[in-house]
Amino acid sequence: MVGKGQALNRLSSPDELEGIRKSIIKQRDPNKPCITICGGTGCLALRGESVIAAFKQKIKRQGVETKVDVRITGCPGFCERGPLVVIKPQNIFYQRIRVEDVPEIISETVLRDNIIDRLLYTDPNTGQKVIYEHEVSFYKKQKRLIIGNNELIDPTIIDDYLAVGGYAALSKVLFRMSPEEVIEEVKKSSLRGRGGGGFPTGIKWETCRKARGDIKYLICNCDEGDPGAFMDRSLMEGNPHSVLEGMIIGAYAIGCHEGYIYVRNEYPLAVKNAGIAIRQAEEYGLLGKDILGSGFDFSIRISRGGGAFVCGESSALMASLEGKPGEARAKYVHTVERGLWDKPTNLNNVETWANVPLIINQGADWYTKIGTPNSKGTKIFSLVGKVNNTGLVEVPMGITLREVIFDIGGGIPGGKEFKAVQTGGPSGGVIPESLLDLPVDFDELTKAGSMMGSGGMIVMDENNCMVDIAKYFLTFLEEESCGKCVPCREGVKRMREILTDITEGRGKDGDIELLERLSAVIIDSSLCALGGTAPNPVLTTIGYFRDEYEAHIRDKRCPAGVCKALISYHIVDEKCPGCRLCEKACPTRAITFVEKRKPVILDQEKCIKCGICYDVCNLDAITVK
Amino acid sequence: MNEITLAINDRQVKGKEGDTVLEICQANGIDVPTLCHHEGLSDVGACRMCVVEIEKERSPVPACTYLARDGLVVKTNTEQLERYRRQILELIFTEHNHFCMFCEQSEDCELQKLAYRYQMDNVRYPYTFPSLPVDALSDYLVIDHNRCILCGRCIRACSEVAASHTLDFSQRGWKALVSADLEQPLGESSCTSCGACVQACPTGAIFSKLNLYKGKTDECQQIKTVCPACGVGCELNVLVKDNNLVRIEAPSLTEPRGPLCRMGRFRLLEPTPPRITSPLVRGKQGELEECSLDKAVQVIVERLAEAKDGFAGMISTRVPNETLSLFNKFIGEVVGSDSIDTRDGESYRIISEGIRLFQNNGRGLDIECPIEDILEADCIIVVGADPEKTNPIISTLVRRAVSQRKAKLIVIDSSRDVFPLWTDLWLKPRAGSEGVLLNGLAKILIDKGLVGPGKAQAELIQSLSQYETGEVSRTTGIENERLELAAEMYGWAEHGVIIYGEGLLQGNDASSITTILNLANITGNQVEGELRVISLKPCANSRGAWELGLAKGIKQDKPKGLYLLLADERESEELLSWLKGIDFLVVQTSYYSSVTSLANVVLPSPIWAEREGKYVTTDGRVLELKQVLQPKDGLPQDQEILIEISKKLGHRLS
Repeated sequence: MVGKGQALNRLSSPDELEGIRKSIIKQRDPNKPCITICGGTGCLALRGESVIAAFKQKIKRQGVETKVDVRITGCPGFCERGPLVVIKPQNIFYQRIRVEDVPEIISETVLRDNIIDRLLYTDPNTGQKVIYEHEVSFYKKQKRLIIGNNELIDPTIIDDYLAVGGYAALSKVLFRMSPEEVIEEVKKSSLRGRGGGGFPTGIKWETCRKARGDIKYLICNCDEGDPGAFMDRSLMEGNPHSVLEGMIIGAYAIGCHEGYIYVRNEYPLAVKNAGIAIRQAEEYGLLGKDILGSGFDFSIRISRGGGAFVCGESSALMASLEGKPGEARAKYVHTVERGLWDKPTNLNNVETWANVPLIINQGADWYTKIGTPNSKGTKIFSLVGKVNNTGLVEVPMGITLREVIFDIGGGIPGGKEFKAVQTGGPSGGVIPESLLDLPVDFDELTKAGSMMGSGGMIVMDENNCMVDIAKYFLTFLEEESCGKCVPCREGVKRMREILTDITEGRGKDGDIELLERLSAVIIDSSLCALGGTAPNPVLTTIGYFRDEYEAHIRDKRCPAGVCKALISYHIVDEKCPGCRLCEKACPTRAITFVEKRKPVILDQEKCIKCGICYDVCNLDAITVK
Repeated sequence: MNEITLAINDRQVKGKEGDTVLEICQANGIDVPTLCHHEGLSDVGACRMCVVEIEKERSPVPACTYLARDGLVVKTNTEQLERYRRQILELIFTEHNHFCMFCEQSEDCELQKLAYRYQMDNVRYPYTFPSLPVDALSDYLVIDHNRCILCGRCIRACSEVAASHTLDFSQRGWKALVSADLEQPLGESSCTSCGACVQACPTGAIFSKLNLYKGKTDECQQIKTVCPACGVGCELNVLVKDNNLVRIEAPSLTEPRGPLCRMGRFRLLEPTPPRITSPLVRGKQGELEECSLDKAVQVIVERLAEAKDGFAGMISTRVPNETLSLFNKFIGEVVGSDSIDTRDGESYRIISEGIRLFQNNGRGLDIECPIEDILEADCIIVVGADPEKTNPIISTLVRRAVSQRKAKLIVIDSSRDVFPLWTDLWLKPRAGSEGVLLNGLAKILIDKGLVGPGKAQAELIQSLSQYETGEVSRTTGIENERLELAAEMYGWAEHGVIIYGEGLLQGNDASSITTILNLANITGNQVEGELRVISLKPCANSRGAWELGLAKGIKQDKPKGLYLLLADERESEELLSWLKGIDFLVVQTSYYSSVTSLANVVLPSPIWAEREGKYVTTDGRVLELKQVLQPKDGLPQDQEILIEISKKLGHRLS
């Protein structure tokens, strides 16, 4: 097996590629136990790194290196339960693994096939323990065409990708298809851009191919900026070769010889793994000059972004790539005709590129069987917020929001009521419970006032204030507005100020109308989509939760008990035994202990509404009004 | 370009393919409000005032960036658009501190005009009253961020017109500010004070200290004339109120000679030394005393009648051709002396000798190319010149070629890199070895075959044989590789321009001029007999004076008497030391100075704004200098005084 740091042999024909693939597979025993540990950022943040180190160390110490393989994989998506460990070939699923669990896993499960009960996942709805990964409810309803490979491969080892059939699509395209045929296939697949716009990918490629110009550029947009979204991140970290393969196929179809991966520098692992992947692909002759001996040249460079949200917008991204401030420009001449350095430029996002090899391998006919009439294939969502199973979920288009949130996501924690789900990131909107059976696709979400966006999905429960949520997103957009055009720069700021006033008890009649009027001018006259969609969180919350706005403005009351200026904490005298937990926790000494078995007293003058007392009280003796 | 037809507000109008909707609207008298648009600058669609409705577009689009197509149906004035525009204005007005009563730009402000137009009697959002800085440390310019609407016009003017790239936004969103370099005060930045930003600013955010409270545009008379500050010959639009200069603007920012520089736009408005308002003669006590013109002329006539021998004439080349011709006749016919020179005559004699040595076929300065050629260049050599000091527009054109056309820039200068932020290669020869360096380059070009067919004649090859690269390297102190690199950069260029100036002439070596002409000639940088070579002339009408033959030279080391028509040229050390020891000195000048204190007779002279006549630019164009001010206190023109003296001596000059 060829691993890190070793020189690879250059492949100069499709046969050589298949030859090496065969030899890699042959060297691997499918029945040999393999401990796969998630090396994605989520698990690493949960001390996965020390778990990985512990596994390596223990295996060495117990002298079982020959009996068991260890593979550090990409993110399988179930971040809620990380660090994740799966023992193959049985696919025993262990979750929330700590360093202390490692020796036991080796000695019991790997060497003796015993299941360790306490490390298994308990289904929150049934209370049952689940042994195998594919039986976990979180995975069951998913259709993991794109992200599924993450857990099979070590992203830093190209052979792992080849072992799962990697670069076969590239080989097929280069030797058995003309560029036009590739474009035709992608058009037939009805693949739509996964970055937010949902523009048909095949048509974009075709326009770029036909655009006049001797030099054309190709860009992979890995500037994922929605708060809480990390689909592209985990693809780039976990399976960079699938993105590269998609890009090379795209380059061949369009006629590009230079490509860029624009990745935000806040994604250090994505930057690192993409770099390793490019190097390895180059060494194998899958990237660079004369790819696989076909005569086709294509090189990819990484450009690291500074993390501005607006740089996810194509023209702003290109400006940033050119070294200019990341500002959008008017796109009445499209970037496929005049983009990077004024040359025709085709930009797609990470997930879109990763779909391409799949379409080529399986064919457009197969691909179009998945999804709804106008949205084909699958979509990865990052399911976060008030939901039991947070993580990345890949689902077929057309699945309902209810299935995603309740079947895959496992519902709302703590038995709370579901209130709304925000899709499409800060530019999307909230969708209330009444629309939970909405099928998830590009057009349906837009009709509901929200959007697919790049796939953020934030679940909210009864304890979320909708005005506060709108304020949160507007604050984000205000901060991220580039400031070039007036409506976005000033209008969004003004909207945020009005929302702040409402949440702080200074709301007045007419504020809702002013918000709506500002929204109209911002949507209609902003320069780019950042401004054009910025009022969505406000308009959808006004649309679906107008009563909450009115409660804030007229009654000076926050029904969800979130907006500090409008709420107060109170001791429920009959429930409070004077246990002093809250008194000790209170940072401002607003709570006074009287005597045992008598309720404490809360001084409203001193209370800063931090909510700590509410959180520490085990007896529901504190309420919010 | 194909003609297209659009329906704008139900009216059929015609335009050209490639025009924006805004351009077509403006050409057809359809008024669309704008703020971030400025004639001659690229459009960015930032302010959104010019949004229009176009059929089949799902939301309004800015007319300034939307390319018109045949058959478009456009509406520019629907109720909704007008509502949006008003709302945008409200947002702008509450963003920063726009208080017209404290603003010099009031009445000339585009934002204010739009506020009136949209009848902004109130705004619906609370004012934010941000506390923003004012940068007033530059010599000429002030940036008041409180009045800035972040339209970016100044930034585009700075990069596209001035090619200075000093201004840009720092921060982003509503925190953005227009900043010089990396948030430097303007006066300490790379700003050249060309003032293009002042002209581009729609409000009072960037303004000049020299224009303050002098008058509003509507109160002024506007006169187009030519700039007297250097030989480039930029057109000026001078605004005058009550016989005072209010402001100087560029008639167009787009023309190569359009943007103006600090000399033309600001320095001409600076306070001057005290004016000479009456003739003066040196009295018995040796003091200059005011007298009548008759009396002054009498003194001169007496001195000339006494002894014409050893009398010479010298004239500034800031005066127009008419004055020059008359002065030529005056010295030749009236004074009867063939000892005449211009202040910058020495330069001419070196340059013309250089041209003569290059080809003895009678061509003169017209062998040089127009300065617009710089904009076409892909390689520029600047040798012995500091255009930023002497001819800032030339420096702007060089920067534009470098930044917009990616031209390579080579500076040859023994003391400093005159384009420190822009130079690709700075060759620093030992002082005085520039000629050797240039010959060395010519030899490398020939040796490497980077010359046009048949261009390198045997005679030239022979004469260059002594300039072996190693030898040249030893003499100049520049490594071989750098010499070769320079030769290759110039040799491979399709359009190489060489600019030289005073620094090269100081060595008094005409052969280095010849070498420059040779370099251009052998590399084929020649169009219709013109070589792509530009010499920077010291004064506004140097070329006019030289072509009229005034730069003959003064025969004596020190003439006994000198008639010096200095006009409004300022004194210089070198002039003063030469004037010392002349027995009888007549100075016709605008200002009191150390020169007048040496003079026996001082005569008044109008300044540039009070004169009229023809100027010949550095590249030979003839331009009209217009009188924009009435002469101070009814002072006579230069010619009138010369004619008066001639009359007294019995000559009739015209």
